[in-house]
Amino acid sequence: MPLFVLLGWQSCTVSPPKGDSARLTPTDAEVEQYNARVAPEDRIVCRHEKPVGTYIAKRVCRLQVDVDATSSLHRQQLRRVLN
Amino acid sequence: MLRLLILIVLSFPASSALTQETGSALPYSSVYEHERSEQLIARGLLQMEAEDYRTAEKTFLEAVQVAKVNYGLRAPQQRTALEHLIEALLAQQKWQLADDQLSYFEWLNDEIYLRDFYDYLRGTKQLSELLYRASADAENSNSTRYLILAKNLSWRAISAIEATLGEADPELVPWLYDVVLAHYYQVSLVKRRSLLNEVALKENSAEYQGWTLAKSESLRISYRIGRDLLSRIQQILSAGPDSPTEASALAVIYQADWELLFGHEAIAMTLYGEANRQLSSIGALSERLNQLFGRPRVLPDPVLYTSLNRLEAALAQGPIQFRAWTPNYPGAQLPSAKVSLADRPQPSSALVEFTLLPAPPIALMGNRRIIKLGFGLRNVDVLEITPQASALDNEVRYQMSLLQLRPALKDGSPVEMDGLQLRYHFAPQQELPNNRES
Repeated sequence: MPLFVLLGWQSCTVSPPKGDSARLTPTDAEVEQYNARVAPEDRIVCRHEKPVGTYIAKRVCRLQVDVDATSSLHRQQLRRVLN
Repeated sequence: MLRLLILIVLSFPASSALTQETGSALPYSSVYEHERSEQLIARGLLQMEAEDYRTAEKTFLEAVQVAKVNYGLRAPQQRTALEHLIEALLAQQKWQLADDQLSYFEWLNDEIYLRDFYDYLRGTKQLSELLYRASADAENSNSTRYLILAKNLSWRAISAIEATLGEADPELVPWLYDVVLAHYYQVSLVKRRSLLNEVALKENSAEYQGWTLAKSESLRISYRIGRDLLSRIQQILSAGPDSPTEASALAVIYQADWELLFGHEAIAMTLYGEANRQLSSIGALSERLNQLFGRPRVLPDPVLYTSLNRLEAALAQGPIQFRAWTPNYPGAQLPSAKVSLADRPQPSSALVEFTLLPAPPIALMGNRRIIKLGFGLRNVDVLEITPQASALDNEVRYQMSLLQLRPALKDGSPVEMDGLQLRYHFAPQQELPNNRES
């Protein structure tokens, strides 16, 4: 019985990724290498962003088209609120 | 039978008219002769030498067509004619047409990748040199684009080598170093002079005059990428088959150079010391090392040397030779003869004597916005200028201030060196004071 409990507990745990947490996002060199071989619409950008509610910036990598679309959506929403 | 006769009669005037139109002495059917492409290239090169670029363009275009007919539409034999054709177009500043041919070259090279990987790499090198050449032309308002294209091309070659030969193959080293150099050229763009960035600063009765440099995220990214790639080169070389310790120690010197170029003097000195220690540990005599590090070089070194003998052979006796590449990338030396703008006249050269300080003044070690002229150099004395013109004296001093030299080291520690001489060859297209007056 204790063996089953132990096996069940082990299967539920998720092991954290190994290594430095900063390596969760690609390095600048990796991003540049990736961007050099894909079409412009598939390129990614990495930058430091401060999420709402904290001053601690974190490195976020997103598709360039995604960044553009989000910016344009936010601009539209702001315009709607202001008008 | 009658149809055949009609066909023969109709085809005769057409072929003779075509021969007349091209103005060629050779009959039309001779495009199938293999030698003709080479003959046309030789003729085109003579036309290039005579600066008849327009005729050369036509000759090379014909050579490309002949190569297509003789060897096939996807044949690598087209590349030589294509390379000269692009050179002729660049010499005439026909950017759009050059762009089209560069795209065709890239397409052709991608086709070759599937058949012969090493031939693909040779073609990529050829294309990269053409892109660098295009990016060096000061008349081209879009020159930076070619630099980025060349860098992306190197990245794609790296991806191809990783996929074919593995992620730690020594074949990667020159391509990784190419990307490092491309980042240095990108960074050197901020050294371009403008009317607005000359400033003066007064601090504790000392006056400084200099040029403000743009500080942006792109500079930091370039630094980080260069640092990461040099570290990767060092790892690849340290696991390589031929004298890994020697190659790895030399790679540390390049890492130190990179730190110095970005103003991290303390890290650079530690790395130079580390390289010296590693080379001593494999039996290199201290006299040999002191002699090697007693002959400073202008940074970044366009070639990555992985053997001590080759590095020693590259350090010529006499004045340090510096050939400025292009006004587009201030302070950057000519990477190779293949990318020089050979068709443009060399304006001038100067012989300069100076003292190289072991490290820049303490005041510069902070993160200051003003880069003072004479960084790391003192007592700059212009010994001769060819042609003689007093107006060039200040220009030489300014150009010298943009250079960063590898410090002289004795037993791994930086030392001051007096009486160093450097022959500065101005870049073709460099706008010099006497030229402006005229």
